[in-house]
Amino acid sequence: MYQISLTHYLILSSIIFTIGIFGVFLNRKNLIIILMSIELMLLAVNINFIAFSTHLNLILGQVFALFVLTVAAAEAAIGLAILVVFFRSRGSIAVEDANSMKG
Amino acid sequence: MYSLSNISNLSIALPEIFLSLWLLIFIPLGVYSGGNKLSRQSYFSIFSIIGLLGTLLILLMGDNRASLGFYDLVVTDRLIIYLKALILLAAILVLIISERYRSIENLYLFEYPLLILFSILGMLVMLSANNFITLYLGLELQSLALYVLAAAKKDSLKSSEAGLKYFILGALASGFFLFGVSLLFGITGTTSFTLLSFNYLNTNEVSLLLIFSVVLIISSIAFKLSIAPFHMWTPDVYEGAPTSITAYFAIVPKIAAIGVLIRILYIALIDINFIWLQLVLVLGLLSIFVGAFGALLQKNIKRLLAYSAISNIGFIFLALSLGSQLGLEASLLYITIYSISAIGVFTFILSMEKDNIMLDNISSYAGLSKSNPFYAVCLSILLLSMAGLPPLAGFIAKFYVFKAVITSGYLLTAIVGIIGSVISAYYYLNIIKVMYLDDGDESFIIESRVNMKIILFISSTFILSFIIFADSIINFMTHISRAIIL
Repeated sequence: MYQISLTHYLILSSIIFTIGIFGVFLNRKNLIIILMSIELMLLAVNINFIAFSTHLNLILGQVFALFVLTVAAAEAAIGLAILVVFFRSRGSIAVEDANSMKG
Repeated sequence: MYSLSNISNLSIALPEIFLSLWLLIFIPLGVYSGGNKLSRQSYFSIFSIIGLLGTLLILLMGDNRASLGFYDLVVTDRLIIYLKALILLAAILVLIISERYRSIENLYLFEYPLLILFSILGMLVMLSANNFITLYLGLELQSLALYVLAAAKKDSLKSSEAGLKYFILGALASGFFLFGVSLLFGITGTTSFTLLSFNYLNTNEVSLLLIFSVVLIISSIAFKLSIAPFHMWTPDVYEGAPTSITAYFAIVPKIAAIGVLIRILYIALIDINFIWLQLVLVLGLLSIFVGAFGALLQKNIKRLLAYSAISNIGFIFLALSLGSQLGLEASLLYITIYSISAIGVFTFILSMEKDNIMLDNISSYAGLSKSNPFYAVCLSILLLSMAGLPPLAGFIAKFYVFKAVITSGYLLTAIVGIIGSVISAYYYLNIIKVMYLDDGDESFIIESRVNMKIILFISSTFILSFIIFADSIINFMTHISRAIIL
């Protein structure tokens, strides 16, 4: 019988994590997509923690995953707040518009 | 080395507990006592300074023996107490010197000292951490407060953009950190520093996954410390953030991140140091050069200091990459001297104001030696020290770094590092040239507060006379660094 092993979970989480990184760097359109990509990275980490936790039979990984979830929520809230402040002064949330400083 | 105890040892977390309680009083006080009334603002600053002083007092009164507590989640020793005291002192000084700037730039919000206190709490937790969970929570508490502080000037485009950039790259770094920690947890089955260092890692079998996780963790800390090639956010954030916040960014979080790096590298990952030694060395050398070349053409003093910070932290990385007692000692000496001279330089920048407008451009310092000789002399001393001119403090700090590098047998590395240091001397000397040789407005008198003048005077005197008591300070650093025995 074919079973889902630890390796499959790790491959899944690595793919999601990589999508997150590429979402941050290659996206040229919208800043909200960057926030979503960051969220994606943190969720990939959670998959890792929980997969390892069941594999090693240690509860610690799940505890860590809960903490990561909580902090990720706080981080998203702060990110959106900063985004709103930026939108008020710039009038746009396009990535290429965040360019008032260079050098 | 550490007395292992599983009972909740409340006393070792007393400074953090005190600061949290202080913050719990602060929030309702700020909200219900007319939070943003202009007349109340200096009370809030004094209130937060008293909180920090109380924390410092509790910290220094406490036991400085190495011990673990809270089921090994929290740790304390001489090194941690020293770095915490440095953080608290630097934060108090930054709060004092930013008072005038805040009144000029209309940054009188009670959230400002509140968020600074929150980030300090995060840094204290970070330094106490003996477990990656504790470390992560402290790191995030610190970072979340700092993201908001960078965007504190809500009506300014530059400030909100700085906050946004800092947030995106900081969150990315946290993602890297967590991914690395999750892999390390999968390999070893623990997130505790002490368990990792008690040979929990099977050093005979170094898998690719282990290398990957170590690289991810180190690069995330390098992000927070603005080490090249993860430095891209630094100049923009330093320029965009309000200057008083830039002063805070340049000093306080750096000390905390260096402390965390020391604990990760020298406690948790010391058994697999062959993985990170080369990596940290290359990152250090790279950022010395990026800092030196990046600053050459800068016109804005805040951008220039961002590159200067990159290059200075590069020297600390160089010292830490040796994995030796001497390197640890040199890095502690360097971060101490760097913070003291950075406080002096930022006191100067925060005093530079003409008709309620802050002067950020280096060209506006022209002729300062005639109009304001006191400020010109103090800044020259601090800059010459940063450039590494003997016998000032900066020279001794760099000398100890290179001494440690050469003792470890990396002669070529030392030569390359010295070349980088010489290149960076150019832009420090350029500022002195502008102040002393260029013509400027001679009627311009800096109106600063007395306490800022005193801080500037003390920091430049300390830098100037460091050679006299260098011996005792270096002995003290040796004593502190013995908390970690390599």
